Amino acid sequence: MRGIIRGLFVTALGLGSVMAVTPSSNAATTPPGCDGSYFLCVYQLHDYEGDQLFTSQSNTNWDYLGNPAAFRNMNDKMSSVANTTSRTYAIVAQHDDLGGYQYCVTPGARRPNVNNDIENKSSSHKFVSSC
Amino acid sequence: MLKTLNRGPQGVRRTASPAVLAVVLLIGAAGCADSGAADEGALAISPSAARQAAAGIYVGTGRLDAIEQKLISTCMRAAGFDYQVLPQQQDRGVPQDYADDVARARTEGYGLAAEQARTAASIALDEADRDVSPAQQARYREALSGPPDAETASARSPLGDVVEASTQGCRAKAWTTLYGSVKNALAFSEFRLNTVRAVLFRARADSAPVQDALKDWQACMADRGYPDMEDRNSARGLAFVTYDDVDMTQAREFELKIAEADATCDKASGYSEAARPVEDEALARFITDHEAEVTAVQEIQRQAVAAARNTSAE
Repeated sequence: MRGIIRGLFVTALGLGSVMAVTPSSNAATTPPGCDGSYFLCVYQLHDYEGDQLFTSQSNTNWDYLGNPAAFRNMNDKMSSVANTTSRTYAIVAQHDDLGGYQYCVTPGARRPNVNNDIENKSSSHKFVSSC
Repeated sequence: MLKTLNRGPQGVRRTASPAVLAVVLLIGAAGCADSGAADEGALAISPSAARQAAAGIYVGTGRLDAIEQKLISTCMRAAGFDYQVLPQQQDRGVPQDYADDVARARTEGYGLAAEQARTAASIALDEADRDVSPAQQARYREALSGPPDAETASARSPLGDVVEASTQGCRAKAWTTLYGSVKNALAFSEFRLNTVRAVLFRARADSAPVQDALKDWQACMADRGYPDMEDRNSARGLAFVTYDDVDMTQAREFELKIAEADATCDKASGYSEAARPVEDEALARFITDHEAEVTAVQEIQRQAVAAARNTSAE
């Protein structure tokens, strides 16, 4: 079932709603590159620094082989995150399929320093209407 | 591990604040006869009462969220934008991300079908908001969240987690109307959405009996055709993400099957039986150690409920 689900997922959602960019410094209060074009902005380092990944993909296991390299590279490496949606929450979790330690990022909020329970351990996300 | 702020001297019973005492008194005598709690004399609240005390934080939150959305919508309309809101939903309770009732799991699963339908609606509205020209999108974002260089407010949870957001725009205005400030809104949402969950998760992760039961649960799930359950909430998580991947009928069928297996294996492994007292003890310890922060969050909630009564967004 799981393999079938994952195969359908790629077919249904495609791979267009993700973007990775090179690191940049930005003194503005909005995290670098996180201009609202995508729902979730994920950063490798604290304070929205390091490698960046922007996505609107409704859910995925980041290390899934069908994903772009940007997702796979962020697996177990994320340290800060911003949710730019208007009203949709984001769950980020330690393991695949929302397993293990998880936390919710509310619409319009961001976390500059993901805590020790999950720093460099995040592996999946899903958008939800509430947490 | 949890920090131990506001602790009294070791072994000395602390005097609980009026707010915590009120919670204990409201809960009644049921919390007075716990067994098996270590160092119970040092706790400001009994483990059996702690879960109900934590549940109090969630009372009225469905309505608060709905009014927040209506306030944002009104503000956005004044700025020239049509901001659609989702229907109000029921209050959430203390998080439980696994099934422990076989009969309920068999018929209701984890209750994810309704949640996923609402999620799809939420995402569709967010996508529609952005399906405009870049210039219009920028104006929309500024109306909602202020300019890119807007000042931010931040809140730090009792566990040390920091969350921040813009202090400008319609969302900040709605938060300020309801919660008194953006910082208060962030503190309240972080507490109810993440802090309580983290306390429970850490307690289970640190308990050898719970981890032993987890292994038994994983073996049971593997026997039933679910071999990759990394943690106790993995079954629910897999069921939830499945709704994004296949049609609702297939996903619902899958949810009911895996939830039934989840609950059946819970009974077989004794997981809930092992986890429940550990979780309750951790909640009691957390409320004791972070009494000032818990009281502050309760006060934010009380004021928000009062503000909601007075808002024209009702």
